[in-house]
Amino acid sequence: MAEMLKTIEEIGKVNASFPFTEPARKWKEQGKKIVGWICINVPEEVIHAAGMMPFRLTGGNEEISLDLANEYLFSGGTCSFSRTILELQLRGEYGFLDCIAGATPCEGVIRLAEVGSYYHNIPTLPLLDTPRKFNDLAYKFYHGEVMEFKKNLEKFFGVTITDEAIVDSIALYNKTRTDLKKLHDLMKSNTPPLSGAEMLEVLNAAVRMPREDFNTLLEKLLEEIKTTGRSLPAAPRIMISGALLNTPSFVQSVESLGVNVVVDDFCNGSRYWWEQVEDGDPWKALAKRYLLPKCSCPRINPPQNRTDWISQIAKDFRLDGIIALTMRCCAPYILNLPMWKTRLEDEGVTVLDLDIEYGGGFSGQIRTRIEAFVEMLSLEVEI
Amino acid sequence: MKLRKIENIDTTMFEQGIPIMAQLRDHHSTTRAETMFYDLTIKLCDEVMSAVKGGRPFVTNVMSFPTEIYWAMDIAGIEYDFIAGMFSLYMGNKDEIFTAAKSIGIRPEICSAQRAPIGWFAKGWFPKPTAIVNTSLCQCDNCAQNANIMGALYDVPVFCITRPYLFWTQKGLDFMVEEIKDAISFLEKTTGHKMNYDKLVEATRLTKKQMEISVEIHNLIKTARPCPVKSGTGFLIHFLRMMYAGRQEGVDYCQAFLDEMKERVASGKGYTPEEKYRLVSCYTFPPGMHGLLDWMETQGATLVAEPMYHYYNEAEVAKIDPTKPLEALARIFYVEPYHGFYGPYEVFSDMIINDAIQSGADGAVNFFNTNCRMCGAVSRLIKDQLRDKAGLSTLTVDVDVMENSAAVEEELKKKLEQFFLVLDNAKRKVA
Repeated sequence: MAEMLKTIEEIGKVNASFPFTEPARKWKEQGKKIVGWICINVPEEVIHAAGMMPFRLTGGNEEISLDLANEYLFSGGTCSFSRTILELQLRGEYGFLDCIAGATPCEGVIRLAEVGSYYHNIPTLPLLDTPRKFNDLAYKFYHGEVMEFKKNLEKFFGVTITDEAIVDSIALYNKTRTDLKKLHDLMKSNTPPLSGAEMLEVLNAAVRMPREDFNTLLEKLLEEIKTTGRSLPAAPRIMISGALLNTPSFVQSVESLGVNVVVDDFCNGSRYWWEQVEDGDPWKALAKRYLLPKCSCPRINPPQNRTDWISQIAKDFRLDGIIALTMRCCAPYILNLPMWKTRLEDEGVTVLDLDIEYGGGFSGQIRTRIEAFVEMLSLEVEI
Repeated sequence: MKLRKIENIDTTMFEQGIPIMAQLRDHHSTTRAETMFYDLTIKLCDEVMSAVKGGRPFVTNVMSFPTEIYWAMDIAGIEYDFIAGMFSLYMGNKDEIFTAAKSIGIRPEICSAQRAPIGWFAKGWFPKPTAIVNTSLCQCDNCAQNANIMGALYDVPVFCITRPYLFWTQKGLDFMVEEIKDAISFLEKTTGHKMNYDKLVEATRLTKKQMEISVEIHNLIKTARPCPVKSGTGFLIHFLRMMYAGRQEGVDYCQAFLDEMKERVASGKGYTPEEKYRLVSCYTFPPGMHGLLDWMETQGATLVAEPMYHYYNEAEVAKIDPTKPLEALARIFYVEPYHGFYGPYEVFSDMIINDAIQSGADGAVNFFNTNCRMCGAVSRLIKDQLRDKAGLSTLTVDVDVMENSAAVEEELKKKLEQFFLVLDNAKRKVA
């Protein structure tokens, strides 16, 4: 068993205090504002350039009861991710947020934003209207949305977001992306330096603390990996795919069966950091980047880019298998999965398709099916 | 089973569905408009089969694609979700098609209306189209994506019109105009037929005419007592308008619907012997549950307003300018009330509340589709708003648009009986 990295311990402490994390608490104590955001189509840099801390709305480290949310957001058709966020909002656990910013990626998130703003008292800014395709027209449209978002933030908080500030914020966030890429490049090794569970701790912390502080931690982590030469034993290499997953304990349980989770396909994972904001007009560059032209969300039409991207990841990370976690009622993922599953299997990557609930534990049938999957991979793969 | 190209396409099942529409016409139609509905559905299916057999381009689409384009490009077309759903409802093959969809990974929590066509394609029962076009409706994940699966199964090209969340703004309209242009380019390329813009002008003029008649229908629904519309027929007029957008037959159908209403008003007769409970329907009544509607009428309950199908805004209809056909098509989408239910909730909650108040409803029923993440998700919000803004009680029930059994119908009757007692009590208090 590899020794625990000190920086990972430090990062773990940030997540342990979720939702009102210690860094967020300190930020508020300085009289500063926090803007909660839902969905990776919301450009965090705009919030940051306004002098506020962006904080991603997710569930915590474990599954919670959704009794309150089920009263207001119909449980039969709405995904457990949306209901988890609403539950936390209705319980008042997100009371430290000054407002919420969201987009329109899918039905669940749209109705979450609407129902949430009606039944709790955290103001919600107008949603960024996010096209379901990436082309010049969508890009032009989304540029308008990003500019509206800027105006809405300025008006709501009575601030001005300058071009200089947005350029600086883009540089800061691109630095995160660059370093996360470096970290993931290290995962391409046969003996990766981090477990998938540790990587998820890192990714969770990224959106729960001031970005400057996170970048410092990330640099420290890269340095610590370099100096300690930490590496995990070789094992079958897998990717976990899905809408999003915030529970490191789930990944840890998967890895305890004898595999290395070396990369993910989540909107709080690789889809969050993969693409840089390009140079040029900062507002146009933001609009383009936040439509995720390369590592598309499952909702994007046509699905070809996403299929190609997953196929490329499988090659780059030399994947032996993929666990596709299909969150119940996540229609975009359900309807997209068959589009790439066949191709990946044809390319020799085994895909396990598994139904889960957001935040759900590693037990019962889920455990049995993953155990069987890992057993099969272990027979197939020569380490 | 993997998502593989279907090698054997056999349209026998599709062709067997056509005479079933004739049986429905002969045994279920009680109005002239209903008879026309089935006749025109048969006509459309015949056009499709004749195109497939004769080598004329045939395109299939999800709901809300501007089918005026087909007419103006001389393409045969049909809405895949509507026709697959209708056929399976009445042919008794629902289990088979849903199993076929499941076998390629399409889970039961996907709306059955959008799962049914996937099943038809997976079975190889649907006629092979030249191309498939879909839309995001306004915001519907299923409509926006199921065509990709069907396109892969039949190896045919797919184009999706994606629509903004705030579709009625100038920015939203401009975006839709460009999307429609792209859709036309796609169809020109895949079918080899060119757009005839003169025909498109004429088609949008005819759709506008349908909408003007629909405004009259809506006004009459709000004011006439007793209600001159048969409960649950909003579903039929909606789909007929969609399938025959831009065609004279669609105008004739709407006119027949209106004329029958006027005759009812003139005779002073409604469809329910005694209107004890005038109800606004918040969503759609599950198609295929005619028995329950008939039973409701025996209890004195009638759906006096179905805003999802009838709520046309006269001022917005007037803005449709057929001489600018692309912009007109974008506006037509905006005016169609059904689409409002898949946008911001305020849009359709206002429609429901206004209709409830103006039609003098005693209560509301929300038979929402269990797997509809747009309409179903906000059922509590709609209930609270109806209580706060219109002083009305709402019976909220989740049902599936396709997968309902006799047991479900019995359970719904019990719930409705209890709800009628609530409405009786409310009336006694007012008295």
